[in-house]
Amino acid sequence: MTGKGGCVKHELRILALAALCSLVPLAARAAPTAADIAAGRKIAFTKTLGNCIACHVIPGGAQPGNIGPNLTHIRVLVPHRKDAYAIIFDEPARKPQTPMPPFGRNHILTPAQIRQVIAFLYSHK
Amino acid sequence: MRRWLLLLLALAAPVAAAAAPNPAADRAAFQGWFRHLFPQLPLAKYVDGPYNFSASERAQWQQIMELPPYGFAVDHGKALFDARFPDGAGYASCFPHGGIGIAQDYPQFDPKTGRVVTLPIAINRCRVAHGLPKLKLTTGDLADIDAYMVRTSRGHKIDVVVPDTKPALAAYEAGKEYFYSRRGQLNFSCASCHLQYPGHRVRGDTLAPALGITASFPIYRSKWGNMGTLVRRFIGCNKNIRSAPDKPDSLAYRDLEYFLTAMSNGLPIAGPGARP
Repeated sequence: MTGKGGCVKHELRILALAALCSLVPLAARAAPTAADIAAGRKIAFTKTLGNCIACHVIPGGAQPGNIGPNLTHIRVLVPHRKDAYAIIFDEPARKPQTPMPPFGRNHILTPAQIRQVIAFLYSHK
Repeated sequence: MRRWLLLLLALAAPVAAAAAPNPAADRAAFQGWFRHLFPQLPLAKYVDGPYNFSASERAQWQQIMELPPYGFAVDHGKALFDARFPDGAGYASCFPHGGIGIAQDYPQFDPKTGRVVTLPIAINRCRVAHGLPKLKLTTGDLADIDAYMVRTSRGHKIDVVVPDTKPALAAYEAGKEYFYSRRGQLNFSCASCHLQYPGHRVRGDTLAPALGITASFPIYRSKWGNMGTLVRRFIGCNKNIRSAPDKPDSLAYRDLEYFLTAMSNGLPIAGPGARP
């Protein structure tokens, strides 16, 4: 009996931990700071970092490319930020013919940098 | 069981047939793709690359061409080409028609070495045959000699021959494989940009179509401030996509140039060229 009770307790603890784990980043992502947005802007416009401007029109970016969609209205194109994260992390996994580099999978950007880029892109109303 | 085997064989047969290298069929499909993308653009115009897609860049180019920036390179290349080697021979002795008006026939497959020979590599082979050291394959004197030889070939239709032999077809296939394979941290193939998105812009640069792209080389590139051969551009592309470049005389680049130029058969030589 005690063994079973211990097991339940253990499961509860894991659940609580899992809930905590999913809450922490959610809370962190819910309110990007001005510093996050500024960092994301730099990543998006710098050739040696994300260089998003090479292919996308982005408000505030000079000489944009036109290979990918215009990201001015990203809130309409991709309403959920988690989808934007998946696209930036590894779009070829979703669409094999895409020219979009797999920024996360190929370690071009860290997960934190990807979240900063998203914070910047979604800061445009 | 037997029926299944027969079905399997029947299915495998066309696959095997499709897998056999067929440069003529590839070329028809390749040129057909661009015709589909830009039905109004005549094939011969593809040699003008990015200038087909940007009126402002075209206007600037036409102004620049009143005094072509590769003019000095062509003159210098001619002087080098006409000079005698210490043994009394010259470059003309190494090529058919004295090396004049022959750029459209390169790259060639050399059955003796089993390797593709581009025009710059043929120039170096000529030097070695006459006891002289090889020149750098990317820029400098060799690019100037190349520029002169290409200038004498302007308007000649590209006519790259892929002999129907196993080694020649293997080199061609390797070049094709390279062209379509994704590489580098940014995960691009040559085709990602120059087949899928010709005429689109990467930042301020207009992507040239793969069709006709070799016809204007060597080029004077404003970004470089001097002449460069096609392998110099290959190296630059590899760096842009964060992929380790190959050696200028590598089999990889020879085969790529072979495939890429063969796809443009029938288009006129337009080099040397000027690009931003």
